[in-house]
Amino acid sequence: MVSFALMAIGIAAAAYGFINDPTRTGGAFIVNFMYWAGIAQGGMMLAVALVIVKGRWGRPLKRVCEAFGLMMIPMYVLLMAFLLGGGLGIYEWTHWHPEEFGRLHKWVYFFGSGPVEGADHAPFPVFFVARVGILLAVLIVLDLLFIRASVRSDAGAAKERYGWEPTGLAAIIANTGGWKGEEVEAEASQRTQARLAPLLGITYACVYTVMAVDLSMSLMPHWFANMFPAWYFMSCIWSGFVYLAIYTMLFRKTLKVEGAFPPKLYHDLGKLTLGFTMFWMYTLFAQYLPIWYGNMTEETVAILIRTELEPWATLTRVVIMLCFVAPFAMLTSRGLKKVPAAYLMVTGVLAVGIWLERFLVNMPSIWKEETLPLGAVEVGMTLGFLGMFTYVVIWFLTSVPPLTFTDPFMQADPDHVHVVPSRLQGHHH
Amino acid sequence: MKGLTYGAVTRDILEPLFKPSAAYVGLLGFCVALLAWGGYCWFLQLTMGLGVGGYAPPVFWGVYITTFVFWVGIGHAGTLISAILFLFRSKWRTGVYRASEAMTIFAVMSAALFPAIHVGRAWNAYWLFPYPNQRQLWQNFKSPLMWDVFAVSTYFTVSTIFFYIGLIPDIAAVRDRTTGTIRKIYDALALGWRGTDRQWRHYMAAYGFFAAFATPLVLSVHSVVSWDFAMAQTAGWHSTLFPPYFVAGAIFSGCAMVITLLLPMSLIFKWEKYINVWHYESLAKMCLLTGTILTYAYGVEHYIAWYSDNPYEWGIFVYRAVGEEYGWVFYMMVFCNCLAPLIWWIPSMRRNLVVLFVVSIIINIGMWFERYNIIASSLAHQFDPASWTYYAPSWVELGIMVGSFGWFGMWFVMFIKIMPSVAVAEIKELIRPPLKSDQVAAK
Repeated sequence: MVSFALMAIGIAAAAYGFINDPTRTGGAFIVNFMYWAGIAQGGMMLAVALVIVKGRWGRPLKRVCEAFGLMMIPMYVLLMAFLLGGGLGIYEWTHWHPEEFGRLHKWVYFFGSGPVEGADHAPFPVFFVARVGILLAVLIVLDLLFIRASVRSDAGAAKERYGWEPTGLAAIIANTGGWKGEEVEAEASQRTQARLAPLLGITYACVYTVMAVDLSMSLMPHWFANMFPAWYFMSCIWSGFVYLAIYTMLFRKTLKVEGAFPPKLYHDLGKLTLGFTMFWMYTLFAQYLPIWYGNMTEETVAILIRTELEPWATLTRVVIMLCFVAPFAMLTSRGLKKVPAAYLMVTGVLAVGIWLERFLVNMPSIWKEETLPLGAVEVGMTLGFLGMFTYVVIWFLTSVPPLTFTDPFMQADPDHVHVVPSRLQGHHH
Repeated sequence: MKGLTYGAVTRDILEPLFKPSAAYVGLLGFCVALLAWGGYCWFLQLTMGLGVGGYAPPVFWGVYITTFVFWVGIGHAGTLISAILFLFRSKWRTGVYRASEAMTIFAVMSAALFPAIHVGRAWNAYWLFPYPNQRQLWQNFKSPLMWDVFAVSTYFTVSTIFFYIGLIPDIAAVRDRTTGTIRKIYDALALGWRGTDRQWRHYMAAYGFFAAFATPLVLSVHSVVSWDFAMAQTAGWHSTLFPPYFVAGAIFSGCAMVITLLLPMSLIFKWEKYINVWHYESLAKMCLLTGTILTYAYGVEHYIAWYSDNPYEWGIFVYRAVGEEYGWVFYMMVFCNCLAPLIWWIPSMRRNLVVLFVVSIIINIGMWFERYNIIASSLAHQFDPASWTYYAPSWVELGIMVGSFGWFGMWFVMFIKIMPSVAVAEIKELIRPPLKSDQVAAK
């Protein structure tokens, strides 16, 4: 119910915004798309990573990760609707006169339909939209294959053991037809996931690279930095960790899986989040330092706008505080990561901080006024996306088994040896 | 590790310390011969000047800087394996971390030779360090080369302390099996280690602290090395991606070098029980991950250069790939770093010792060429076409480079004979401790 209310707020805010100020509202859409698509696919990447490294600690989170991955479908639909429905106007280069294009931009943006001499403005960038659309579709298909392989084994086993089975759309995703028994299916599921996982990892890096360059970096078409795509897709994984913690802490009671999410799990997730917080700052600094030092006009402009000019300069400081200083200080505490309320606060700070970071990265390239374009429309649209995300995640987790219980890696490692603490125990286990 | 006892572990691992074989002496002699050849080449350069190199203005960075970066990169894997994998509680590190750490120390010592060789007047190399002096000279702290001096020396210091702390219990184990003067030396090096509970507690605290302290240094040192290039405006160098790309490349080459060194060593000393296919496969997986990151970085560099529409940026990447002079270097790099490791996606190939050894050597060749590709081509093909030139190393430069391998090998081979190359104490943690109940049952 709350999800629907939030979605209604989002739709109303978007409708009002697109009628009154389409450029600013288009900017808010891109900010939210980059934020929520990052969380969705970034969260999914934890499931992929767990399969690749045969990790046990985070297995209880795997189904939630898959729920995040499912969110990519509505995100894709919204993006295509935005790009095909006139949203491209926020990209400065769509308003350029053909002669302003460099040699390569013709190919980059208008492959097969380049600017025409004498035309007032450039034609529709078919290649731009097609490559984003096709690449994202490939990624989503791989996501779905992975999710299906994982869910099928659990849904089939649930039917076999308890007589419970998914219905409707969830039944289509689980696709338990031709069930061959729990043991065989669980093994087949692991095999399929193990094959898909490396492919998904590589595809994710490549597709999100193109997405970051096309949808975000090209908002400032003369600026380029080859760190930018990796910085973006790594921070997506980071934002995925943040929301995995938030959703599981908020909904584990509702889903009746409290026992699967003990404080130790959040301790581990918190350590990973701390690592990614440091990595974010490291890669941010890695971008900043050469640009500042090189002092080349075409590069410094993007930095100067965000660090020297208001309203962005203050926002930059806020982002550094919320994305690095505060979480770094808090996440170094072992105890804090194990206390749900405290850890929820840290992830809340990061969730807001990362949203503002996406806002800071994208909006100054679109909005040229001296006021901060952060009002009811932006907040309303963000709430709309939040409502949609929450609805998809909770629907999925209540429609299929919320834990991957047939996964052998849900069990403790039979060969586990306490390598380090034994010394502290005086050599005796 | 089933069937092993504490006594057998100590005996097996410490055995190479007491019986030098003919093969060992031959290997040490080979390394010293390479070093002597390098020393001769350096002597020529010192007496005749840098003109003996293949420098072609404006290319004044060549083989020496390439080899410097190569060795710093090799020096990465040791601390990564010992510190970062320790923090991750990764079990496979136990068998390989000691030799990897030793490799780190000796690789950084090899790298440290090159700034002195590169400046020509090696007797003035100490000017790189800031110290009060009568000439009122002060270093240019704005230069990334100075940052490098600090980054590498900090990394070396911390890695050495960390390495030494890890060695203490094992030095004590060697002490307990020696006599006379040798025992006195090991006794002094063991710092009074008796293996009491209290000592273990402090030891673990110190080890954990240094592991945490060394971890950011693994990232920082090669990031700073990458800034030697990225801070310049030179096309092909001025890249924001360089820090993580260089770090991934360093781990890639370092893990490959660990395979290259450990595989023959474990066969010669019959350590298969302690260093086996599981360890090599894990190292190969690390190489696969970092090699994929590297391939991504190569791809993104070209993609963004093309996307940027910057003629200089795009020009250098086209030149590297299809230029007559350095095209072969580029393809050598791509083959060795991107294509050859792909064979490790096949599990059986990750477990085949011959394939492991051959591919690890190919990777190390490729990583040397990667640095050469970055350094030489960008300088030879700068903004002004009138300054375009071709740099090819002279035999003297290559001789010094070969000598650095002798230097590295000599230290490593000597280390095998002086200290346990597999961590005795940590291996014992992986096996069942001797219990009184077992002795009673045996009776």
